[in-house]
Amino acid sequence: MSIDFSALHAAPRLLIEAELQPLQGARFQPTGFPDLGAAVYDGPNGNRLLLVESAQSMANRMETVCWDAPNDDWVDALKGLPLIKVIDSQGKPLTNTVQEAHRLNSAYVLEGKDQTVFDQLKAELADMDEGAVDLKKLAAVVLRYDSNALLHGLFLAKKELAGGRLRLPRVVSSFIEAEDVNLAQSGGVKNDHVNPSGDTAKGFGNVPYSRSDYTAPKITAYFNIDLAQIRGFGLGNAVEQLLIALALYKIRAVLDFGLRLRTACDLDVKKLTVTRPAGWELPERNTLEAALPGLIAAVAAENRFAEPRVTTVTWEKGKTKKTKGEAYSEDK
Amino acid sequence: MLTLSLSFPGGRYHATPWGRHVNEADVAWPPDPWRLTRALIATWHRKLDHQLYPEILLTSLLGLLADEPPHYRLPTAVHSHTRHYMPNRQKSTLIFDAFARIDPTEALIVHWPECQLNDAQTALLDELLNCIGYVGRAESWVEAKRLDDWNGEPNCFPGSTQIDQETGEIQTEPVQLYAPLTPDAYVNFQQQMQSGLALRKLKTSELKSIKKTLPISWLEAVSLDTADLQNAGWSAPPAAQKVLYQRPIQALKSSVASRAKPKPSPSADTVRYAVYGKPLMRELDTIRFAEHVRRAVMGKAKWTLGETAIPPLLTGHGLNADNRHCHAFYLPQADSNGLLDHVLIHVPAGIDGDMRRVFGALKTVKGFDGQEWRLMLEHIGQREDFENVSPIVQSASVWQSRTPYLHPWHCKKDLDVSAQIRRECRERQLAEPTEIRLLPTIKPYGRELRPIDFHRFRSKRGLMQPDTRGSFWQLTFAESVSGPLALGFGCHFGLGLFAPVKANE
Repeated sequence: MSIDFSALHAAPRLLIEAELQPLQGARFQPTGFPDLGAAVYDGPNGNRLLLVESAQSMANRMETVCWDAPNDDWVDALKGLPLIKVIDSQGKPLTNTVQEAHRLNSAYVLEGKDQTVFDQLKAELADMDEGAVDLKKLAAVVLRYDSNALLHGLFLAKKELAGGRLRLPRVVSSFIEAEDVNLAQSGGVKNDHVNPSGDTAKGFGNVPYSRSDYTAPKITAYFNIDLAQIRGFGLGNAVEQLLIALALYKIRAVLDFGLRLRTACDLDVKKLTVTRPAGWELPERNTLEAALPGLIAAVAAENRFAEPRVTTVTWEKGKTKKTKGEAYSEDK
Repeated sequence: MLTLSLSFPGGRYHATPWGRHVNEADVAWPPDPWRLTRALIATWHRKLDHQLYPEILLTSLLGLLADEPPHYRLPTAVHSHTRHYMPNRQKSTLIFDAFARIDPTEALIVHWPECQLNDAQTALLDELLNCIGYVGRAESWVEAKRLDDWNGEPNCFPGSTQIDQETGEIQTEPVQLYAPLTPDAYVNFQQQMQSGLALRKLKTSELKSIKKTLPISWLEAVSLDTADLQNAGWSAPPAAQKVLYQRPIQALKSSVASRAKPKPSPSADTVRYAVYGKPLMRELDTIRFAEHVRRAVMGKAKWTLGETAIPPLLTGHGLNADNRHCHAFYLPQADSNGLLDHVLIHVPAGIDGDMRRVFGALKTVKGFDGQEWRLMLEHIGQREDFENVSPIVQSASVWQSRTPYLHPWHCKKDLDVSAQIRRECRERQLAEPTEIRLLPTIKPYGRELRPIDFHRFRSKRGLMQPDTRGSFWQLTFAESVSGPLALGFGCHFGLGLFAPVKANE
C-alpha cells in the first residue's frame, strides 16, 4: 500500500496528538533530577501540568528507534540512508551521527585528527562565508551525508564553516505532557537481614527510601512536522516524500515500541489523532516500512546521497577547541 | 486595520527577553514586534519562493508593520519553567527553561489599527503566516492567520500607566517591548552612527564588527544574527527601539495552581448583607434604601462584568413580559428599633457565576447626599438558608404587611384592592388567599405605623403609580406559602412586603 502524500502537499504542518496511559496501573515516573524534582508547572486553567518528556529527549527517542544497535546499522526499513560512522583506531565502531548528540556537528566527526568530513563540508559550503546562508545548499549537503539531521535540526558551530552560522531548524518536534497531575508518594526499605545497622555508605544496613510518582487523567504526546520547512529545503519531490515518510516512521516507531521512557514509566497509546490537516490518516508502521526502501531508492537515483552511503571517520583525539554550540545544545 | 491571530498548539511560548540571561527564567510576553518581524523574515528565508515573493515586497510589508506599534489582546498565560542539568560529564550546569503556558484553544491577537496593506502585501503576509512554524524558541509552536474582521478590545497597548481616577488603583503593568525602527528612522540612525564612528579611534577589528551590524539596508539590519550583535557589543539591537507598553496586571501570572480549585458552586437564589453606617436608614425609608442598594449593585456589575454584560436578572430590564418577577428583589430589613441593618437580595431565577462575582465584590452603598454604608456579605445561598435570621423567607400560611402595599392597577368596579392582590397571587403561581383582611395600622416594634408614615415613591420619574397612599393587609392561605412575599408597586424595592404571622401571634 502506498502513502497518499497529496493531502499534505499544501499543508504547512502536520500535527499529531497521541493520548497515552500507563501500561500497567495508574502511576508513572516523571522526568527530573533528584535535587530538582519533577518538571511540574501550572496551566492557565489552574491545572497542574507535568512535562513527561522534553522536545530534546523525544528527538533522541525518535532517533534511537531508527537504529539497530546490535548490528550497528539502520533498522531494516531505513537501510540505505546516508550517515557518518566513527570507528576507533582498531576499526571498532565507536559512534555515529544517528546516536551522537550533535549529529553531523559531533566532536567525534569534526574535531578529531581525521578531518575528511570537515574538509568535505568546508569545500562544499565554502562560498557561504559572506552574506545570507543558502539554506537549500546546506540542506542538500546535509542530506548527502547525514539525512537524519534534516529532520531534527543541526547547528554547525564551527568558525571555519561560514563563521558558525550554519543552522537548520527542527522539522520534527515532539513532547509529552500530563495534565491535572497528582503526586503519588511511596517508599520502602532495602533490608539487610545480616546486619540491619551496617554501614550504609558501603552498601550494608537497612536503607529507607522514598519515591515520587505521578498520576494523571490525561497524558498526551504531541508531534509536529513542519511540512513547509521540508518543502523550503527545495530538494524536490522525492526527497520531500522521503523526509515525510521518515518522520512518520519515527513517530509510529516511538509510539509502537519507544514509550518505555524510564524504569517505571511505560506508556501505551490509547488514542491517536491527526489534528492538522484534519481528516488525514496516519499510515500504519508496516505501510511506512514497506514504502521507505522505495523512497530511499528514488532519492538515491537522483544522486543526492554520498556514495558510499556510509562515510567512515577514524577517531583520534585532535586539538580540543571549545565550540560555540556546546553550552546550549541539550540533545542527549 | 490589520489583525493577526496567533495560537500555540503546544500550549507553550518560549522566548527570552533581550538582554536577559536564559537562567533568569524571564519570558518576553507578549511577543515583541521585533521578534514577530524577525520570525516573518526567517519564514520568508527558509520556506518561501523568492521569485514569487521578492525581497522588495517583504521589505515593504515589514516596513508598514514597523510604522505603527501594534496592540495586543493577550490570552491568559502562566509564567512557568522547568529545570534540568546539562548532561556534561565534567560539570553539570543547571539550566532554567522558562515559558508561558497558554491554553492551546485561546488566541493571542496582534492588531494594527491603522495599517493598510495592498493585495500583494496581503498575499505575502498570508503565505508567511501559513508557513510560520514557531515564534520565539523552536518549542513555541505557533499557528498564525490574518483575521478579516476583529471587534475585540485590546488589553495591551503602547502608552503610560493607567490609573482609575476614582479609586486611584493602578490598572496596568508597564512592559518594555522591542519594535523595529521604521526604515526612515533607521536610515537617520545609521548615518549618525557611521559619522559618529568615523570620529572615534577604534581598533580595526572592533570597527569592522560594529560596521557589520550597521548595514545600509533596513531589512538586513533587522535580520542580523543576535550573536553578531552581541559580539559587536550591542546591549540592544541597533535597528530596534524600546516601546513602553501597558499590559493587564497579572497578564503573566506566576502561579495559579496554588489557588484552591474552583468547586462547583451550589445553586443559590438569595444573598444577605449586614449594613453598617451611622445613621442607618429607617424602615420607613425602605424603598429609598433599596434603590440605593440596587444602584450600588448596578455600579459593581458594570465594573466587574462590563457595561454591556450586566445580567438582566439584576437590572430587571429586557426580560420576557410573562416572567418579569423572576428578577432581583432588593429587600432591606429592619432591626428591633426599626433601623435597616440588613439587606436581602432574592433572585427567584437563581444566582449565576457572574452575579456571584458582583455580589462578592459589593462592599458599599452610597446615598445621594454623600452618605455611605458599608456592606458585609453574610452568605450567598438558597432561600431556606436564611430562615433563622430573616422571617420573610420562611414558609407560613398567614402573612401580614411589613411595608405598605400599593396596588399596581387602577381600581375599577371588579378590580378593587383585594381583587388585585388575588390577581397578583395568581400571576405568581401562588394559591389565592382564602382570607384578605385590611389592617389600618401595624405595630412592628412598639410603634403604631400607618401606611402614610412610609416613604412610598420611587425616585425614578414618570412611573405609573395608581396608588399613592398604600394599605396594610393580612393574607391567609389554605396552605403554606414560601417567602419572600412582596406584592404591588415597588415590590422589588421592599414595598408591599409581607412577614409571616406565627400561630400564637
